[in-house]
Amino acid sequence: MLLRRCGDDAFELQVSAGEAALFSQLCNDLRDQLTGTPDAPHLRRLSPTAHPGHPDRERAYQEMVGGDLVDGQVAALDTVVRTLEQDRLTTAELDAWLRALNALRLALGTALDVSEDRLDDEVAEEDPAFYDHLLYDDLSAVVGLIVSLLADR
Amino acid sequence: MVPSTRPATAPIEVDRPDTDAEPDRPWIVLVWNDPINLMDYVTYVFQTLFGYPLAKAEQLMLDVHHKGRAVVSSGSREKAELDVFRLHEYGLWATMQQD
Repeated sequence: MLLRRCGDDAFELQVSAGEAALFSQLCNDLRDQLTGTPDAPHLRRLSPTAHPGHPDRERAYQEMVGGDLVDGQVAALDTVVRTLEQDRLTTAELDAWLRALNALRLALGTALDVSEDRLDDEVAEEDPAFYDHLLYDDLSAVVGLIVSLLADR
Repeated sequence: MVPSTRPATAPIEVDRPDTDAEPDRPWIVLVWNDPINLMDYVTYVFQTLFGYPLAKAEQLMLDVHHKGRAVVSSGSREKAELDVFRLHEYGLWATMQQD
């Protein structure tokens, strides 16, 4: 995958067929989960509480914004799928990629129960979650790359 | 710094019975540490959403990382709810409470 700035509001994108298929599947799967099984345990970081310890305030807050948060998450995931085969991304599209890929990290990281000490612990290749950990690391690298591109003026 | 290009969604007024909120006390927005969000990402989000210079955004991020949480904004209840929502859009663990 290649991603680099090529103008004020332009970023060059090159994604292999395999990478495009993977990103597309991941984004579509998360999209389906957010709209179909929003209470799944691995999605809890994508629907955080604003007023912990105050159920009435939280209920009012969720009535006000709950649908908008999911709509925004879905829109970001859809942007990734829609732009995968483009050779240029705008800043707005790249920001959507950032939020979408980080959402994928949050869901996967929660499922893997990653900890602060994770980098110190090697995951054995025999571990059933070995490839999920590789995917998590790959997503982390892409998120880090996008941040470096967006933060660089 | 690239401003967030998603339009901010202003909270609408709703009838919210809340007997324990004190109307004159400001609200603060807290971001909590978590093992998933990258430090550079958190810094970028603080810069993008609040317009903080890099040094302040980095210090807030380090406070989150080392102290477990940091106050990233304050103001009216409506402003705090908007800030929390925007932080949630970026996947940060944000809550709000009266100061």
